Amino acid sequence: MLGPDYRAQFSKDSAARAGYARCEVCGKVSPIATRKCPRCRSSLHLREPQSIQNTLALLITAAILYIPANILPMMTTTKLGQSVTSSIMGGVMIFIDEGSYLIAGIIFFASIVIPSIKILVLFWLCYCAMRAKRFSHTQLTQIYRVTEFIGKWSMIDVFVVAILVALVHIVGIVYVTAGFAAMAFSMVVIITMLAAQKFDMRLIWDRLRDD
Amino acid sequence: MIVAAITSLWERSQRSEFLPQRCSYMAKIYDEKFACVDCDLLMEAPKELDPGEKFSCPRCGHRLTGGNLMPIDVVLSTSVTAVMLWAIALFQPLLSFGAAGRYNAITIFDIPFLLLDGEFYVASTLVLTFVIFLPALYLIAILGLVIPLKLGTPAFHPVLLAKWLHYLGPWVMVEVFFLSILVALIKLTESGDVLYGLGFWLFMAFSVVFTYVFSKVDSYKIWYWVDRVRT
Repeated sequence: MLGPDYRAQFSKDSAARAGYARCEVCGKVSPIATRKCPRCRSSLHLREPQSIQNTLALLITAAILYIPANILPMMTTTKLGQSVTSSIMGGVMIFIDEGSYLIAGIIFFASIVIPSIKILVLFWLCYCAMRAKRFSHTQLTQIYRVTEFIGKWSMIDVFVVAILVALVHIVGIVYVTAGFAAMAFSMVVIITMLAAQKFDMRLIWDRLRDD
Repeated sequence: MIVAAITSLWERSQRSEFLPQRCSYMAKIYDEKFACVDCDLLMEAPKELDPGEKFSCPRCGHRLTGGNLMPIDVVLSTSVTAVMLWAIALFQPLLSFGAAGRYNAITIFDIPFLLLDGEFYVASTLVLTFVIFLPALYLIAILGLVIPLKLGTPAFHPVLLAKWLHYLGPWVMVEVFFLSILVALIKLTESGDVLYGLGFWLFMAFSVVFTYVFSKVDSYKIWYWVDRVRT
């Protein structure tokens, strides 16, 4: 599995260079020859296996799903026999028209800005981990940490729609049905969260050259 | 009698096991070697940290731990509180919405089932798993580790519980859901009469307590408990 000089690809001072692997589950550091973590019996890897391939595959899926999520209707509202459809951006526009700028801002930020920036940032990180020449390791680490942290906040839109739809259904005058965008958007959030988890930040630090 | 009880409680709370201790559980787990999560820098775990002192990776700046050993009683009491709040908050009316002269109340537990009527299958599953079941599973796993530790009895599969906590952690969305409730409220107050139910206040308390537990319990603490429970 590992070539004779496998250690040369890792940065100086790293655990992998010294032949140690950090268990992904419990964090215990053991020699890579151990194969299984002595504490939690998970398989040991120096780096997440196929990290970039998995991240890119998930990212492409998310990017494809992101298009219908924004174009197609999120829901169809039927009131007194008349049907109205609304997409994510349409929902934001309704909030702006009603003058509730705070909610419009939150929804716009959570469901349009965060997912798109997240997908772009992860693509950029994969690019840096593979072939970019000049980048700041510390900055990229901070960006990655922020992306990982804000990921789940994109769910706000889905949850707001869920609460409103549930309330509207119990009142019973208005009838709301789901559009494909509701599913596509939820999948975009989940898949980008998975992609961020699959990405191994240590690959970026491995490209730190010893001077 | 009450005074005596309070005094004895105060004296007990002053015992060292209840107070943050000057020690590093990281040094206890990683006695020889320790590696940063983000940059894989190999280093020695700090031998001693002051209560509340933070320890960050010298190369990438990742905050590795908050330092102090949170007393087991605090974790136990806050988790039990959170479980109780969870059990009550889900079945109390969250909001009542008045239209055409009648009020209709929903509980959080109703939301996924009402969503099924409107064919919101994915959203329904998401609310049911991320907001209702995963937080409960998370708290149960914490209690499954902490209660045996407190009582000194053997735990039921501690490694399995700790792995649960590791995998469930990123998917718990209690605080996101609470913010969504607030947004939905602002929206509704503009279009009709909204009454806050008991469930709203209970869920608010639940998200505060849960987020406190969630932020204080990091993976180093969890695996430290596992090691202690197993020996």
